[in-house]
Amino acid sequence: MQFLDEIETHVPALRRYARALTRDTDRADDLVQDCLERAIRKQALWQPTGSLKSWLFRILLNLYRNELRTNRRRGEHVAVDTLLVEPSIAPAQPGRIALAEMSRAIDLLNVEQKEALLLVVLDGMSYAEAAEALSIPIGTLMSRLGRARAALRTAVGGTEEPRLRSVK
Amino acid sequence: MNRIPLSMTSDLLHAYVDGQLPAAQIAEVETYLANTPDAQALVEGWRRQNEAIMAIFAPVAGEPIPPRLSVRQIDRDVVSHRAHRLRNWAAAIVLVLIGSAVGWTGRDYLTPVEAAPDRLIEEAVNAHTLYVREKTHAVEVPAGAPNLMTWLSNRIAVAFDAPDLSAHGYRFIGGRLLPGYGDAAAQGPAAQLMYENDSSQRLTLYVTAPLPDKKEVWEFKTVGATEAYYWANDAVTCTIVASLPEAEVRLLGKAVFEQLTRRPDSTRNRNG
Repeated sequence: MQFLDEIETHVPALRRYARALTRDTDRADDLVQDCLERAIRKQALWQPTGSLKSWLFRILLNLYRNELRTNRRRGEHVAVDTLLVEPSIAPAQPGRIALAEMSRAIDLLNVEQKEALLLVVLDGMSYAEAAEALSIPIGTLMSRLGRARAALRTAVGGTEEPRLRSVK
Repeated sequence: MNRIPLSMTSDLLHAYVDGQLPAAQIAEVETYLANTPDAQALVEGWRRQNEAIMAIFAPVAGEPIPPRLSVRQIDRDVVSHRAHRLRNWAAAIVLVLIGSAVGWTGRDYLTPVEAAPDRLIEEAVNAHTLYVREKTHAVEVPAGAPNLMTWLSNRIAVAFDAPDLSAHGYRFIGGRLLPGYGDAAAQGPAAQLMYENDSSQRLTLYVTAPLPDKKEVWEFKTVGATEAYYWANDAVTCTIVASLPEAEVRLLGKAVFEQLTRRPDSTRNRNG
């Protein structure tokens, strides 16, 4: 039962992440449902030494990628909750990024970059956890994060990324 | 602009924005940012991105969880599904065992003993051997009797007329109804027609309704001194039995089959 309780605490975060990836409430909840089923069925495979959260997100990500592949083969999938942003959010204030614009920019991110950025920012995962969830080394995670942020900056009409390359 | 410390990598700046920088390094990064406006603008931009992302998506986590995402419910479904699958397996195993037992017990019933054409030929030869040696009761109904062919046609459920073999020197002398081969219920009765030539040599035709497969089949079989020529199609089966050379039987067979295959003309009843 403890295992189930622990899974349960992650459901809101899984939903939120799935929604951010898919922009579709039903698709997102389908993914989460599949993820939970799979996790419960395969609970014997979970190593208590690892992070349960990372494990759950890894399952979710695998399902999401499978779905993407299937959709790509099928051709097209058009169902995006465009209303996600508008109603409840305050209008853009000076110095803030217009949310609708940001929302579109996130949509246009390369999938790998989007997955990485959202794990870190939205779910507040440590880099180590995020790398584990994505099954990639931390260095790869950091470079995806950097590219995601640069792409967003360009997309929402910000100035070009300052030349911080010299920083390295 | 100050010189950039070599340790100051973009990874550190990301970690700073994401709140993942070890406490010991925060001061160092902040000092660097304070002296590096470009880097500060960059970091500020990232921070706004983070805020925007949270503003857009964070509310989803506060939404009520739909029942279908209830972990307990899914757990129950998974368990019952598993139990269900176990039950299905158990049922499948029981069925296999029952099937094997039935199959073993019933193996004698299920093994086809002999193909239908072989049984027909055998019956035709037996009937031929039995009746051709009869002098006065060789046939049940003589050729001249009214409605002989109508009666036989009705009983074996095949509309047919007695083939005319006079061109080969054989005269139709009559026919009889026989119980058919094996389990008569399956195949129905058979009609035997007998012919005779001037030297009192006799031949018989053994006619039944078509077999269930209705395939066109030819078979020639020699049983002792007797030749049997079997032929079946979708309308009829017929076995010609005679103690004649094979070539002659084949020739007679051709004449018989040609006439039987030609659909009988109901207005023409040579026995009527």
